[in-house]
Parts: sequence; C-alpha cells; structure tokens
Amino acid sequence: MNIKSFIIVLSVVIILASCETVVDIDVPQESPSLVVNGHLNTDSSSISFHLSKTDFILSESDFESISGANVALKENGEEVGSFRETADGVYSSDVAPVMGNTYELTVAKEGFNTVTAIGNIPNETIEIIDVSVEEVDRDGFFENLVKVKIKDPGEVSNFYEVGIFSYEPVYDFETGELNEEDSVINFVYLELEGTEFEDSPEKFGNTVLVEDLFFNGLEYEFNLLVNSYYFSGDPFFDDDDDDEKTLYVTVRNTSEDYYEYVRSVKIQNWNDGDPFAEPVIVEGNIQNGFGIFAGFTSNTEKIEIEN
Amino acid sequence: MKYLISTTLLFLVCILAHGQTVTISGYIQDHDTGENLIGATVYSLNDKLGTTTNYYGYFSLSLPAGTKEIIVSYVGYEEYRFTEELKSNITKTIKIKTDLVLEEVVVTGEPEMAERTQMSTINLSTRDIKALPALLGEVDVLKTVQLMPGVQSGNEGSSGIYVRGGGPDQNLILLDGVPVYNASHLFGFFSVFNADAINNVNVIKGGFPARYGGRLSSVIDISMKEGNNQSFHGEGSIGLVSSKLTLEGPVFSDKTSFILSGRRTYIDALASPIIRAASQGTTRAGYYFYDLNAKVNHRFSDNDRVYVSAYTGLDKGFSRFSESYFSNNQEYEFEEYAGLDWGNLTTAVRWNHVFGPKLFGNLSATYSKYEFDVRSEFSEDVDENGSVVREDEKIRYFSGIRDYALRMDFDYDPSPNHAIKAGISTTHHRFNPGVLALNSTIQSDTTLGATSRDALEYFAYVEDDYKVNENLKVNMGLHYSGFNVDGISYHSLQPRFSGRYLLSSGFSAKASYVRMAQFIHLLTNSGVGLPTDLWVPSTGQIRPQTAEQFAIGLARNYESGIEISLEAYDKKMDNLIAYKEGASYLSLDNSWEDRITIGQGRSRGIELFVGKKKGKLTGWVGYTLSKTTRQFDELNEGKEFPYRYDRRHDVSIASVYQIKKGVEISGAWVYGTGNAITLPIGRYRGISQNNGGFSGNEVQIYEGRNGFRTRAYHRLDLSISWTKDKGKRGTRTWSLGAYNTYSRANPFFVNVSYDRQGNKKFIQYSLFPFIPSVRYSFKF
Repeated sequence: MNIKSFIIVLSVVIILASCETVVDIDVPQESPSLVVNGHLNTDSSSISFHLSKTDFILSESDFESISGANVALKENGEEVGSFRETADGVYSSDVAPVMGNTYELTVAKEGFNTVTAIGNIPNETIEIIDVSVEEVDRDGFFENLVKVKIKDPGEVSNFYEVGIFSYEPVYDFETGELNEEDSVINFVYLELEGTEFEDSPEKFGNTVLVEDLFFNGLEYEFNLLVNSYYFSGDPFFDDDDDDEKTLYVTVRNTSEDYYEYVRSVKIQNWNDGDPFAEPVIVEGNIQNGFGIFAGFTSNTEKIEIEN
Repeated sequence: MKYLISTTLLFLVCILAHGQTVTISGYIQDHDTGENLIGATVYSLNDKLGTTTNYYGYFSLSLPAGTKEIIVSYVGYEEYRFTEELKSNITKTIKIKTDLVLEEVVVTGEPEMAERTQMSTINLSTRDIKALPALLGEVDVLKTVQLMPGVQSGNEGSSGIYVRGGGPDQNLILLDGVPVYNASHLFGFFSVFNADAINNVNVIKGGFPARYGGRLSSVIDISMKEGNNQSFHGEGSIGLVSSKLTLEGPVFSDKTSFILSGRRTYIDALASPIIRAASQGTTRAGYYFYDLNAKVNHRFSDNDRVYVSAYTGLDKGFSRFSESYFSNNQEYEFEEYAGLDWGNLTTAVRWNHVFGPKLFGNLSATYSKYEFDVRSEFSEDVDENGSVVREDEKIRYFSGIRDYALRMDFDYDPSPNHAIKAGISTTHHRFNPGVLALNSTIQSDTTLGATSRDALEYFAYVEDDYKVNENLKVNMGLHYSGFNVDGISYHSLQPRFSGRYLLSSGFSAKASYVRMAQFIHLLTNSGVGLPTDLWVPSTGQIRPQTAEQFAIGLARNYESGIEISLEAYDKKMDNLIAYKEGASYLSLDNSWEDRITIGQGRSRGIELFVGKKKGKLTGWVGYTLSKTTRQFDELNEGKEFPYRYDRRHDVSIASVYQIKKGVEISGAWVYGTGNAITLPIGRYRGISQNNGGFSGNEVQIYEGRNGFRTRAYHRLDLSISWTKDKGKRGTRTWSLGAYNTYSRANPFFVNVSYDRQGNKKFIQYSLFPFIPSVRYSFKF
C-alpha cells in the first residue's frame, strides 16, 4: 500500500460517514470550440485527425463530431495535400508524416473560431536494442516482466511513450463473426516497475511516459509488468485457444507537446474526485480550440517468448 | 549595522539622562502551584507606571524612590495590592491567588489592551481553550486560535492556520521556544498540543516584535506548564478519541518541579479486533497517535533557573497481512506490511540568569526534528530445489527536517520608560527532502532520491518598548537574519515598528509596520497538513519569501472588563512557491526546484474583536472582512486569482458562561464565506493510444483558478460540564459536547458526479454532521 492509497482508504472511511448534497453552482455555458485530435505518427501512411466540439460540463450527451470543415495543411511552411472525410468527423489526407518535419494545420468551420495547430515530429527514431520476457512473481501474482532496452541519444531531451499492443480482430455485430482481415491495435494495461512510491499515473495504463532525465545519452531498460493472460491467447472470444498471442512493444520518441498533453490528461483523470489535489489544466497545442496535433517517431518489435 | 549601533547609543543616552531611580524586580507566581505567570501586570499607582512579566514570569520596574502602592493583576487572578518603601533596589517573588469568586468582577486600575504598544495580538488562556466545545470532545489549542478574527481555518475539521491570507507554512509555531514543523495529527483533524500540559498561548498576527523572525504571517508562542512546586497533583481525562494523564509536583520543594503529560488515542484498540475477525485473523491494521510532554525546572538560586523541556509525538498507521499454506508437507509463509509514521521531537534546555535588577538573560539550546516515513515490506517462503527459502523486500520512503539551535536573549529595563530586548540566535538545519531506499534479497539494494542539504540560519535583534510621553508609546526594533545554503548567502534587515497613542484613558490608536523574511518553504499540493508535505530550504533558484505588513487600529478597554479592537491591515508577500500546473508531487529527485513556480500574494482586511475576559460570562465576538489573492506568472495565465482560503466574511462567536458553581456551558458559532475552488466548465473528447487515437477519455476544461465558491460554512458547537468538588480527592468533571449542533451540511469538496436520479450535477460532499461527545476528567 502506498501513501495515496492510504489517504484514499482514510478518505473513503470518512466520506462513507459523510453526506452528499446536490448544489447549484452558476457555471457559465460558453459557446463551443473545435476539438482536434490527431497523431503525427511516422508509422502511419497518412496524416489524419478527428474533429469534434466542446460541450458543457454537466451535459451527458456523446461528443458531437463535426463534418464539413475546411482543412488546410502546411509541411515545413509549404501547403500540401488535401483532406477528405473518411468517417464521421475523421479527416484524412494523402500526406505521409515525415520524421523531423513540422506541420501546420488550419481547420475552419462556420459557427466556430478557426483553429490552428503546429505539430512537429522529432528527427530520430529510437532503436530497440533488446526485448526479453520473464515470468515473475509480484506479491503472489504471476506476471510477465518485459524488459525493453534502448540507447538514449545524448544532448537532446527525449520524451518516451512506451506501450505493448496486439492486433485484435474486429467483431462484426451484423454477422456475429470476427473480421480477421481488418484488425485494430489494442494496447494492454501495463506498469513501469520500480516506481512504487512515485505514485504518478504516467507510470501505468495503456502506455507509460518516461523522460530521459536520469539516462540522457545512456543505455536504458524499461521494465514493463504485464499480466500473463494477455500472452495466453484471446481472453474474450476464444477460451479454448491455447495458442500464444503475438504482442508487440512500441517505443515512441515523442515531441514535448505530445508528451505533456498525454501526461496532463492522465494526471487530470487520476486526480478527478481527489479532494486534496489541485485540478490539472490540460494544455494542448490547438490555438483557439482544444485537443492535440503532435507527433512522434516509433519503433516496434515483436515480443518473442522463449520457452 | 550602523543603525544598530546608533540606536543602542541613543538608548544609553536616554538611560543615563534619567537619573535617580530604584528598581523592584522579581517573579510573579501562582500562589498554589508556584507556576510563573506570563504577562502579569505590575503597576505603581503613585507613578502611574507599570510593566508586565516576561516569558519566564520575570519583571523589573524602575521607579523614583519613595513609598509606593503597587498593584499586581492577572486575568483570572485576584488583584494583589501592597505598599513598599522603595529606598534601594529590591527583589520580590509575588504569589497571587486564583480568582474563585467570579461573581465579583474585579476591575483593576490598569487598562490592558489599550495600554500595550503591541497590536494584532491575542492571548488565550488555557481556561478558554478547555472550556470551549471541541470536535469529539478533543480540546484543541489551534482550533481555538482559529476562532480569532484574522485567523482562518482552512478545510472542515482541519487544525491548519491561515493568518491574514498567509499560508500554513508561514506560522512560527513555538513550543517552549522550539519550532514545531508539523503541528497536526490524523491528517490535520487534531493538533499536537495537549492543553493539559500548556500554560499560555500567545498569537501574533502582525506588528511582530523584533525578537521573532523566520516566518511571514504569524507567531504562535506556546509555553508548557512548569509543574507545581508546592505539592503533587495530577489530572486526566477519558474521552471518545483519547485518554490523557498529567502528573506534576515538586522534586525538592520550592526548588525543583516537574510535569509529565501524555495522551494517546485508542481507535486502533477498538478497531483492530474487528478487522482481525473480519479477515479471519490474516489482517491486522490500526491507526493511533500519541503525545508526550515533559518538563523539569530547577531553581539554583534566586538568580538562576534552568528549564529542561521535551515534547514528542507520533502518528502511526499500519496494516499487516500474513498467511501460511502447506505444499508437499512444507509450510510456506507470506507476510506483507505497510506502515506510515510521522512525528515531531522537540527539546529545549534554557537557563535564566538575573544579572542585576535591571538585566535578565536567557540562554537556550534546542534540538528538534520532524520525520515522515512510509514503508512497505514483504517476505515469503519460496520453494527452491526442494528447500524453503525466505525472500524479503523492504521499501522505505522518508523525509524530514532536523534543527540544532542556540539562542541568547536579554531583557534590560533601564528605566520605567524603556524596556529593551536584544538577542542573537543561530540554527543549523538539515533537510531530507525525500529518499527512497530499497532493501531486498531479490533485487540489489538501492537508495534513490535527493541528498540531504544543510543550511545555517542566524539572526540578531534589538527592540525597545519606549514610553515617549504620557500618551505615546512605541516599540521600535530591528531584526537582522541570514541564511547560508549551498554556498549562497541570503541576508535580510527587517525594521519593526509598532506604537500606540492614548486618546483617553483606556482608549488608544495604534499603528504598526513590519518586514519579514522566511528562508524555508513547505512544498505542498493541498490545503491540509498532509505528512507528505516537504520542508525545503531557499536555494539558488528559490529565493526567501518576504512580506511587508502595515496595520492601523483602535483599542478600547471598558471598566466592565470588555475590550474592543478594530484593526485594518494590508500585507504583501513575495517569492511564494506553488507547484506548476500538472506537476507530479512526490518527487524522488532533486528536480523539485524545477516543478515549482514563484509568485506573489496580497491580503487586505478589517478585523473587529469584542472580548470579555472577566466575570461569569467570558468570551469574544470576532469579525473579519478580507480579500486575499495570489499571482503567479505560470499559473492561471499570469492573472491574479483568489487564494483558496480567501474569505470575504468570517464571523466567530465563542463564549463560556458559568451558570452556578461547578456548572459551565459554552458555545461557539462560526460563519465563513465559502472557499474559492476551481471547477470544470466544459468537457471534450480526449485522444487515445488505440486505433489512430481518435476516441479517448473525457478531458475537462478548467478556466480561472479558484473562480468559484462553495456554499457558506457555518456551524454551532455546544458543550456543558459539571464539576464536583470531592474535597481532598480533588475534582471530577463530566462534559457533554455537540459538534455541528444543527447538523449543517458544510462543504468539504465539490465534484461533478451523478445525483440519486442519475443526473449529472455538481455534488457537494460534507464531512461532519452532528457529532455528540462525552468526556470524563479528574484532578487531584
């Protein structure tokens, strides 16, 4: 048990004995702004993003996608490509993200402030030197410890996002069958080891975030704890399948904008409902709007389990 | 320095010019216990001149020679008059009796509050502290202080102190002259001071005399009892939360006395068997805290006294899980332990020496530390090639601060028109801002974290309480302080001034101006006194906090014993620290300096205090109108925002009434504008790592830090007590209390959540509804 859980247990005890009152607080309903969510991922063949709008805090409706916006993109200052809407609110271009380049996105839609974002992609990829897996016992639970070794480039600050994912088939609700052709990426839950008292939400979840503060220019090993069942076939669809599942580890060298955005969102979600914490303001890089349009390079390796 | 010398010279000239006087000096003590009385008044009716006893109960009054009628008075005591023929210097120990006949209001010829130069000061008697109602019947010194105008209380139930818009780290909380770094138990619901062991509490909010320094916003000077030097006595009580026992008495009559006082909570003793039973014996868990105060004083001669005092307290929470199982006829054990401890230790050795009738000196050597320690351990038996091997791992995170200090103070009363105090002090600090140590049979041992930092803090001061003429009296002083850390030195010269002008008898106008500097900072992410808060020194990047405060006021004493004061203040604070938005709080490295940001604060306010210290009905009414803001370049887009505990209106009424002998009722009502809070105003779809990242968690939009207000806070507490005199066996008291009598649902925090009908709303959570309490106390 760490400090935060101790405090939470204590708070729960107190709050169980406490009472709740619905209060009316006069919160202004501001006119909605555009929200851009897009990755500049060098693994991807095109630049795309999702466009939606902000909503009042007490509203319970689904986020509304925005169609029919005018989109312009500049690559290193030169206007490039064109966008088309591939799904509701999803805009895709024919431009492939290039390492080291800077992209300026402008999105205009009637009734909203026009938003702009400048996102860049770091100019190197981080090579994964070695990946190993071992089964370990943690507090009586068997888990897999995935060790991912990299060499951090010196002189520059690097912001890493590390995750483990599998390709999951898409479940087709109409036929009731799995569509093996059209798989999606699914990140598994993991924890970064050796951070028992750090207590920060960037060290667990679908990905973990690490800055090279302690290993600038050195070799470094990310120790990722993953529950064993992710390795043993498909837990949801096919219980009898004893086949081992293929998992991939990805190391992203992210831009600072991307890193800070993901980190602040994680902390905001984590602090929600904690009476002792100051609320965290999430700052993206969308001017006049919200969201993030920022990039990373990535390297992905298949995890081989040695028997 | 030049200024210091010239001021000193000026004083000397005044003194020499004064001519032929004689001095009466000595101690004022309680008749029955021999306890020295702090702040008692000694007044010559013939000369209309007086003085008050110092921190050790010592006074020195120089008067023109002649036959004098002298009055000694002290709140709660019978007035004592005597006639003395003053031909040459005399020394006298005067013992005065407790005023048992409260029906007769004793009015002394000497007005108190209006007479003093000191403003913005509150003196609390332990009688008030003990008589007022308290949460769960647990009498609390700091919570009584919170009932004073200009002092805000922070969150519900918390013993945090926010004086005139200052932060909780800006209070110099002294216990027998030693700073206490974390004055809270159980996450701030109780404070560490056991009222049974306390003699006097003095709170200064502004116009700080030069002898105090090192914090910006207040001085809370608490002195422990010295122990009865006449006969052996004890007192104790049994309540819902804790039990207390205090023993005091003479070791050698009239020469040496001691006091020993302890308090311990016993929630764990009650909860532990339940947790054990519920977990079939596998889990044990508990939480408790205790306090121990001890003090011995010895009088070597009329001129020399030595006091040795110590306080220690600890909060301890733990859980232990253990299990064993059999496999292949082998028993395997598994054990897990998690613990959280924090506590203070303060010790002081003080030596009083009377150099002459006009010069009193005190030498103090003190040691104090505050430590916070979390640990998590596990051990288990594992099968290794057929044999059972024990593996274990211990992880410990600790932080703390440790001080050694040496201090010399002088009181010099050359003439009735001057009371000079001067002194020097030096403190060696060691800061341990967070260390993680891993001890393991599985992994290699590691120690991570910040290295400890040493710092030296020192100060020198001189002040003179100078009666310029019949109407005008000023306290002028100069406080110089310095701080050395990592090869960097900070220096600060702080002028201190306060003065009063008598408009008529018992009615005066006052003004004060002070500058303050603070070299240590509290890194905290919350408003409550969490033990994870770290004390850190000023460094090359983080400059000392400074403050400047002006105050003006009127003070009036009425013959009926009522006193009224009205004060207005304006305080500016600089180099305040706060975490940057989104910074993670518990850091293991030295990067805390990069995670914080520096800003300013301002507080302005008007405080009204109406008090009655004598008679069957005592108590006070306080009202504060104030506005407190903060401005940080890196927070809230650089715009000024309200401080979390900015309270426009703050009212407190506290009163004790003696119905008849042995029966007392008391009540306290507080009202405060709601706290300033930050609420989300909008929401939008976040990004995800999955699937192109289009649909992730909801992100909330916050705008304007502390831009919203919770509902107003108000609460009524009542208490009644019956005391029975059992003659030689002492007294027995039963007290019944009611906290939040009309069960007001006061805001603790506000969150976006769902109401019972499932609608998304702002939901306010409250902590304490009506809570009754009972306590049984005895004295012998």
